[in-house]
Amino acid sequence: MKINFGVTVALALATAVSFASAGHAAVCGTGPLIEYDTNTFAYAIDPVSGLNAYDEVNFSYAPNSALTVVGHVTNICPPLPGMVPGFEYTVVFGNLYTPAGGTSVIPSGGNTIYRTTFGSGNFWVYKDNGTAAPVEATPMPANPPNATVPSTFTDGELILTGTLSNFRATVTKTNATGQVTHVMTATYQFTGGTQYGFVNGSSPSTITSTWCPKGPGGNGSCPLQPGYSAQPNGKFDTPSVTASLKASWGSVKILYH
Amino acid sequence: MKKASLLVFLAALLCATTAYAQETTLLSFTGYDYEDPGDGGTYLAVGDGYKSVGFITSVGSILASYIDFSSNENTYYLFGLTVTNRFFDPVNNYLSVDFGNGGRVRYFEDAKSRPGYAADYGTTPPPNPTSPSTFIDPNPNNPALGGVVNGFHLDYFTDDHSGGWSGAMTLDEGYDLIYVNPGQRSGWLLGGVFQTGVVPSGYDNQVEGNCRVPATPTNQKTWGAVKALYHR
Repeated sequence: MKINFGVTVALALATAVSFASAGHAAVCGTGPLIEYDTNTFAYAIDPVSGLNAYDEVNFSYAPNSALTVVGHVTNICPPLPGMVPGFEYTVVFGNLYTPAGGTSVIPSGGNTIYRTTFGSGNFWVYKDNGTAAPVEATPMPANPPNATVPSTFTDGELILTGTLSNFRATVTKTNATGQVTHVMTATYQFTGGTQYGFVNGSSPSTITSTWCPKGPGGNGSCPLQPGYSAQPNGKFDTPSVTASLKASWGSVKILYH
Repeated sequence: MKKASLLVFLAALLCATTAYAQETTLLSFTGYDYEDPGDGGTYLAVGDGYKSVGFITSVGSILASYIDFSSNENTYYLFGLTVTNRFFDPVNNYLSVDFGNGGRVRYFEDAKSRPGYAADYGTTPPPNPTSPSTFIDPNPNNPALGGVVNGFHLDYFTDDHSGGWSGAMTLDEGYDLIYVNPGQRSGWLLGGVFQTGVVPSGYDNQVEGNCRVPATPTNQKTWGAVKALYHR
């Protein structure tokens, strides 16, 4: 007799324990499933002209522009099997487009909200021991797409892929000082990849990230290479309902013997 | 004159070749925030205090040789921030909050081998029996590293509970301060975003962020181009 033996309870317990477990919390314990660091960059192009579609003065994306995010994964947590030393893990967001109105610029008191809703798209996570993808210190090659971006981020084994929805980037500026804060949120759902078996059946969950917009720096913005629009740094949250593994009654009972 | 020109030339060359070699990330962290004093009632009303505790999750090359994640628990404590200005826009569900200068963030390392002192968020609104106390041990007045935080600003969207904050940090204390070049102690940007997920009882938001200096892009130059700058 086969049953679905959910690991949800075990993971929930692990998360609860992690609140009191410092060592675990420092690595995976407070909810991240996949983390990407500041060596992650966004760029937007006009699909017709192929030119940069980002206005860094107004933190705005042109209507119908195509957004791509390429980045380096720095942490992968259970139930996924983790990162193998010597391999490079990269993440790519794509098939994301601004609406016909482009970025919404919303005055609010002494502040201005710059909100861009990219809607739905896809993500891909790769594992690779071949060509190294560039990082901030390399530096990132200007004006993507180019010879290495996104190609060095999309090589290797596709370990995970899925859909994105409600992808939204928000930059807020305090008008008096020019200081900006920024955030990106999205909902994701796994659909495939060689490690899909570890998360098959999991519920949709969230991606939350900084979204440091290109700017002069010193005011919360990031001075990026030409052609890039933002420098995200964030994570995929562990789904609240995670994968189920099929197991026989016998194997379940063995766990408790 | 030639010596002076040579020095200028070498300095320019050094800048041209190392601008992108500089470390830009001091550390990254994840934790939770809370109001103290002022918990309850209007969220972040003028006069309320804002604090956060949590764990250091990674460090950049400046600290990499001195931070031991395998043997030590590395934590942070953000405190000393008081709301000076609050604006809420109900149409856009947008909350904007300014804080007075003089906030402070401290980073602590504590041996995991000390039983009973593991950082613990607790189960009641902080301050509680374990938080922030287990995040600022072994000595709350002797952090590994710390700094003053000015210009702290928080944005929060109440419709989807997204948002974040940022502030300017200058490192000025701690026994690891000697590993940070005096010229690198100011200009750090402390930034965080609010995360979704389970929040321990008594806390407001999960926070994840980093402390970094945004790198300044430079143009790569050939030897010939650099030398040409001084052939006038």
